[in-house]
Amino acid sequence: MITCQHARQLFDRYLDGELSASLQTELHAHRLSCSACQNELALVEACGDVIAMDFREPRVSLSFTDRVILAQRGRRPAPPRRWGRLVLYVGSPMAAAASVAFAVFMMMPPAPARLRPPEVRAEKVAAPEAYQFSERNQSPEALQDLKQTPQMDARSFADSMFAPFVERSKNTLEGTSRVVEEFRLLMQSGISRTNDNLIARWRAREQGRAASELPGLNANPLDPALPDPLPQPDPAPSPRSDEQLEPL
Amino acid sequence: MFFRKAESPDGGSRLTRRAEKRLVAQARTGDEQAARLLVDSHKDRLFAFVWRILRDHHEAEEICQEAFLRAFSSLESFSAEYRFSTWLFTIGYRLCLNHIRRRKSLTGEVDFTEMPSHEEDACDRLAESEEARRLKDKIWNAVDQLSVQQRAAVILFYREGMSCEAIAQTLGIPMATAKSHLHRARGRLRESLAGLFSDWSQVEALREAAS
Repeated sequence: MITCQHARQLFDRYLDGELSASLQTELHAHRLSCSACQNELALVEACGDVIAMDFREPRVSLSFTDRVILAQRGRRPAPPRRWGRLVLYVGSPMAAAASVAFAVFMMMPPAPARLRPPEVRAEKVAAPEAYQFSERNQSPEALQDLKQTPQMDARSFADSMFAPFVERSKNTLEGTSRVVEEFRLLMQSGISRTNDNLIARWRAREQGRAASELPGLNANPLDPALPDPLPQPDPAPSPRSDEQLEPL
Repeated sequence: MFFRKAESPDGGSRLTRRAEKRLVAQARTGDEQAARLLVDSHKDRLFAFVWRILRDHHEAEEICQEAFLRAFSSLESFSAEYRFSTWLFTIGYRLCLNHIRRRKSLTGEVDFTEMPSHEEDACDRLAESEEARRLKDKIWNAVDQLSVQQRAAVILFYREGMSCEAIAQTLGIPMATAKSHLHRARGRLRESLAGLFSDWSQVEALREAAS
């Protein structure tokens, strides 16, 4: 026979349906003999019965199902547009790359062949004293050559050293500005040509309108009643074939 | 039998597993009629569960509708080894938790004891005795005092007849935690209803009235 304390420990397993058959028998026996445990267990079972069977909750609206179906129609995902996505995913980077390439091409200086080489004539000059090597390590010929070479100050020497680079940068800038200028002229000529075409077309239309207002010009040119505006010259008699072909 | 297999409130039978699988497969292909049947066969049970947690008719309907829509929109990922109802209750429960969190953030702490008492059907009130109705109300009030997790575990166990494993699956918690919620809920119900019944006959009368 189990005690009340032991029986209470078994309540939850019993209510969960996880108690073994032998323990169930023990608990039932205890329940019959102990009114406190009987009431406690019956109270929990009554709670379970009420929760399971008492359907006094408000009912869902009658139109609930229709609302769900309608809302589902609205939310149904569109069929996937695979080609559209492919074009988007592939085309966008390609378009961006093409734009960048075009911008780089436009900003690029002209080809080196079109640039004049920097006309810098190297002069045989000696470095200033501060930059010269020690005389002790130089051969007598080199020292003699060094003494005959005119001396330069440090600024002139630096200018002469950087002259090729400065010249090249100038050429690059000139090339860029030349490309921009050519593009501007091209645009201008295109615009002016378009304007000329428009003006010419407008004039032709005006002339056509003025001519249509004159009498007789609307007549059919193929009408035989109309006089021939230009007399056609008589065609020359074609040579006869027997005259043209001389017997051999 | 320890698991309380409840009938649906309107007395209708639940879908068999095979019928449920067939309807889910048809709904997956976009069959509206199958979706309608699934809604009709689950809406009352889901609504009762959600309403018991939220205690608001309008909010409960909104949550139920959202649960159905989410279930239908992700039918592709639904595994046939589970019951559709378990999946639906899982979605509904998570939506309830989100809703309660939102409600807390808007209005502060939620005290379910201050919420209006549940609406009662006039027919039921006439059909049963005044005393039984009073006792049932007290039991439901005690259930309302439980935490959301404990209440959900109790309702799923008794109303839906779910096992502890299914409850754990539905609530997305380990089985030990689900059992703990259920056992603590029973303990709290015992404590709060200890002085409710003066004698054994009252409990028996209540059980008869409930069933």
